[in-house]
Amino acid sequence: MVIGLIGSGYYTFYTDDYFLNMDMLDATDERNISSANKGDIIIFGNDYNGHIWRSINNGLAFNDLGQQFSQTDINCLIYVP
Amino acid sequence: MNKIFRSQNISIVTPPPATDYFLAGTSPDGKILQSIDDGSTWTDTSVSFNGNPKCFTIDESGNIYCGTSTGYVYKYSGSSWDSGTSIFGGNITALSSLNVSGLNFILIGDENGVIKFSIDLGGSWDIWNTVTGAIINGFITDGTTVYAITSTGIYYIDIVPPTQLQSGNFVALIHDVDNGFVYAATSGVSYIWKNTITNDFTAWTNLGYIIGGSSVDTMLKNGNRINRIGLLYFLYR
Repeated sequence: MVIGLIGSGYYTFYTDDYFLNMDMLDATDERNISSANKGDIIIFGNDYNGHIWRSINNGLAFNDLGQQFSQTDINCLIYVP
Repeated sequence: MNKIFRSQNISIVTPPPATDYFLAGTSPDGKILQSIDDGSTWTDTSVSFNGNPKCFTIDESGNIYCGTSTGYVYKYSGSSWDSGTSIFGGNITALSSLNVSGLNFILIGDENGVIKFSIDLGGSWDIWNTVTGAIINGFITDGTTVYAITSTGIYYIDIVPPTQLQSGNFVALIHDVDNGFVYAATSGVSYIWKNTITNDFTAWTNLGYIIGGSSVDTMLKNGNRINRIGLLYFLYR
């Protein structure tokens, strides 16, 4: 499964050539998102207010983990196994 | 958004964590944050680069590379980041580790369309090609040839000048290696494109339009699948 994260609070599931568009994040200030995943765990951040968001169920829901170290921009993320 | 770029060049020893972890590159202070608890808490690694960290990749030996807003590349080899190498004069916008014909290529692209590469794990860098007028946003390979995803299209870059295979402002991609497909998203008018033939990146098919002009910023691949019933339940709950 491919997941596209869209920088306006939406994200899109792509499955079997169908797009299922969902506005579930309630995060309309999210923009310029970067992301990384460890299996079902998805982390994303933005370059607007520096908040980190996390899903532990393969993107079905995300929780706002808040701003980290007062950094306003999360430019890039990576998972290091 | 205006970004504040700083010029620093300091190598900091960072103890390796005992487990897997996430790294985040931030602005405006150019920090590298680390989480060893799947994102619950983050620690400032006290790393300070020349410019702000903009992109990461990992090579086949497990070394981590970070490209910065001032054109530097830093390499983490298990215990510390090196002192950095100046690659470009401007913003690094793409950084990938790809296996091409059995060699581990580290590919790097900038906001001016310049592409460089290393085949000795960052020891030396040479110019590969230039996509004039484009921002380089990613790289893919079929194992023998290399393609660039850019702000003006998808290009075959093994020849000079590069050959445009598909026009569009491509900003994000994910390579589903298991199934031989690449999904690439455009900005502005937001479409998802997919290569037409498995493991062949010379022809592309437009799969459709994304919500209301929004731009897909980033894409992920997960081997786990969610069945439709589960998705519909979530849509209407």
